Amino acid sequence: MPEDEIQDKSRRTFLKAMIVLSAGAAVAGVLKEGISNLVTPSVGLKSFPSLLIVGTDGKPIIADDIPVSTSIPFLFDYPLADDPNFLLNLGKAIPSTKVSIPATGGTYQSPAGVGPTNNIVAFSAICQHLGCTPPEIHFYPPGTQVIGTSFNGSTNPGYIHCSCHGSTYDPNAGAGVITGPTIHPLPPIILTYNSDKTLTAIGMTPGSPTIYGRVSDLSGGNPLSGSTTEVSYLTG
Amino acid sequence: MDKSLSEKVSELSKNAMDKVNGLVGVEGLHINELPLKRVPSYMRRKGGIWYWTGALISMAFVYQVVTGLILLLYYDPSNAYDGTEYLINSVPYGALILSTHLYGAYAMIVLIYVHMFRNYFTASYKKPRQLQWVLGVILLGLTLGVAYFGYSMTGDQLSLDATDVGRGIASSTPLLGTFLETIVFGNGTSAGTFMRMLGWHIIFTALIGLVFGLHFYLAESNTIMPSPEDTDHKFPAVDKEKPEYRPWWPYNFAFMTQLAMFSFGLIILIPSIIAVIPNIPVLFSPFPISPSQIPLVQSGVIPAYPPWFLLFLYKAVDFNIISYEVGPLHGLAPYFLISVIFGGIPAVYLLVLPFIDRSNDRHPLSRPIITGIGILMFIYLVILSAWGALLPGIPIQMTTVAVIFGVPFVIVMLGMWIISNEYKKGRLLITRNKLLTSYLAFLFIFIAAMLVFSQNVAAFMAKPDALNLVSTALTGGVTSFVAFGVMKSSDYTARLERETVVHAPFQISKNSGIIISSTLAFISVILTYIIFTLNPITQAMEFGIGLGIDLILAGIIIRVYRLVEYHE
Repeated sequence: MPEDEIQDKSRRTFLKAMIVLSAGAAVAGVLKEGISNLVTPSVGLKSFPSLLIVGTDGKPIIADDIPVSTSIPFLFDYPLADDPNFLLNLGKAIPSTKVSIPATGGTYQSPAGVGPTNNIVAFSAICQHLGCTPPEIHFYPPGTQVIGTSFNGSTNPGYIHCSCHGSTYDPNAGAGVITGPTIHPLPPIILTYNSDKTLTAIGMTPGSPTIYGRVSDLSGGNPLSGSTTEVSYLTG
Repeated sequence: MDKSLSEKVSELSKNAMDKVNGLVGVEGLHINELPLKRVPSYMRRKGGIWYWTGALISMAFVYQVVTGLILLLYYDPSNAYDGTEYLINSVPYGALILSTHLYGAYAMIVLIYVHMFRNYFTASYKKPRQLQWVLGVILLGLTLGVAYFGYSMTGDQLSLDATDVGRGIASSTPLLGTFLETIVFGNGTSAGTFMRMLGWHIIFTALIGLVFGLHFYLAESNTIMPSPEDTDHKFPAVDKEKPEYRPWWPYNFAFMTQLAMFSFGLIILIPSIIAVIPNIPVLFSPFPISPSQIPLVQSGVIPAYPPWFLLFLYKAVDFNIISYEVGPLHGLAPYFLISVIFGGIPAVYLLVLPFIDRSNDRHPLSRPIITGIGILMFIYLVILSAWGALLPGIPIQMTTVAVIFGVPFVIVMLGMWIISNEYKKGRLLITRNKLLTSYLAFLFIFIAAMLVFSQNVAAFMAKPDALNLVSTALTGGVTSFVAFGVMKSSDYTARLERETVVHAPFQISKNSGIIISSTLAFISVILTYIIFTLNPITQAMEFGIGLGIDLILAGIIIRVYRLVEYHE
């Protein structure tokens, strides 16, 4: 091969390499721009809000008015919109319990019941297994058959059960795991009982799992407007 | 009298056609200059539908794009469920367009599986069609993706569950979890999530259009697969357009129009009929779950499961493959792993298949392992889907999983090994007697399996436990396998018959053609008149029945025309 042709060839290779290099740089830039743009900025709050629990008419819920162990419990959003929680009156004093997290082996102390007889508790109503919400996750009052399980009139002390994949939680003991496939308990909401017999949600329990699908309880949803959170019922 | 009438009609129609030609000119369309390959006539005759599964998919896709764009005009991400209800209850023909969009998607997915398995067993992925096959697998993935997003957009209970499960799987991805979750589902607010899913639904559709364009271009360039005899039973199998192939216009054009009429007709007709049958089980209803059905969800009558095309993955999530104990894979990682095992591994296998299997023999028995894997994939897909539908959300122990997967594996692989050895030694001569024997054997086993299967189903309904489920799934799998065997062996027997005795092609006279098509056309005009009197909001689905029948009648008339005029 003549000398100048060899030179030509190496020059061409060099130029090609330069094209690849610059194109690579441009592609990297475009990828960075595109992917970062796809990740939506997260929305949420800096700290847990104090939200008074009110009815659909805007009037605060009086603790005594919450029906005892009903299969149609109150639901309220906390700490963000689209974060439903059960508001349960279990009809008896609920002590603080040590709840274990099967996923990590860790434990935490669940809040004790509040209200006139320490009978009211609240837990996230989003199943920790794969995120099913009411009506699939559902409270079965004591003595009722838990559909699709062997828990019947005599063996059901009032469980929360999810019909999506069969996870069962015990709200009498901090919504700890009774049956899988879930490996996380339902995170409890911290309530306070006010002197006028109303209830305020003030936070989530330290050490408990975060709400399903959330990196932190305070991000990943719109904050509720105002200083109240409204209860809703499920039909049926 | 009759003859002169028929002559008059054909003269009239010829004059009309000539006028149209004079105005526009078929030549002016240059339709035969399109880079569309001409195909042999047998592909347009009875039974030729098997060669057109790709065309049927693209017709379903066209239907989806048209109805989807109409639905887009009504979609409101900040109010998804109310918007869906408004569309169904207050927009003229909203219910019809929404439900046929759902069934069009079903049709597309079923046809894609048919198309894929047909090309798998005929090894169409081999040289020179490797890239065409890879694009096809990508199209399968994109279609399942677009279907997932579409299904999650109605905002009813099942769609919310689907979103949550998707989030769970996305967020359990190691390292990239939260990153992936926000990319796919947005920032977690309800409106943000629906907006994202609408966006992905459209983006995926656009991608399907793009990849399909390439896939179709390659399909035309690589030509149809000629019959094995033409290529000496070897690859590369490329068709050389023979002089006797008829031009695209008007022969294939008429055939394609006929196929379009039938496929659009069925896509509209099936959900319309299902919608008007009283007391249809809510799972077969083409409409979203309404609030009045919430008690049924709660009591488990409506199980919270995904649409049938994702049931296989859903069931896999129930397998206790990874114990729920403390470990490096604790937390949500199992769902990610299971999605990888049951979704990712088959996908990668299909993608690399053309590069693993490079032999040049066309017979399925020359590659027993590949064919065996294909049969197993089909069996597992059916078993897992049926299992997911019958027993949703029951954790399954490893031993049960091993039995369900192991028994078909052993049977299929052993059977393939024996048959393939026979074939390779040249002992597997297909004779008429052997075919008849295997047909009878298949039929006998099929009847027996049906009996056992129905008993198992009854037992399972009465006592839904793991044992009854396993036996139901097993006999169900055997039943569908031998049903396929009955079909195939009867098909081969018939083909052998045809080779020995040449039947005269089916023909009808021009006059009977005229009588049939004028009767059908008359019926369709009357039918159209009737459905025009229906209420567009409350009787949209009844309208759909009429419209579907209209389209099918039009398809039949084209069929008659092709038979009479083209002798096809």
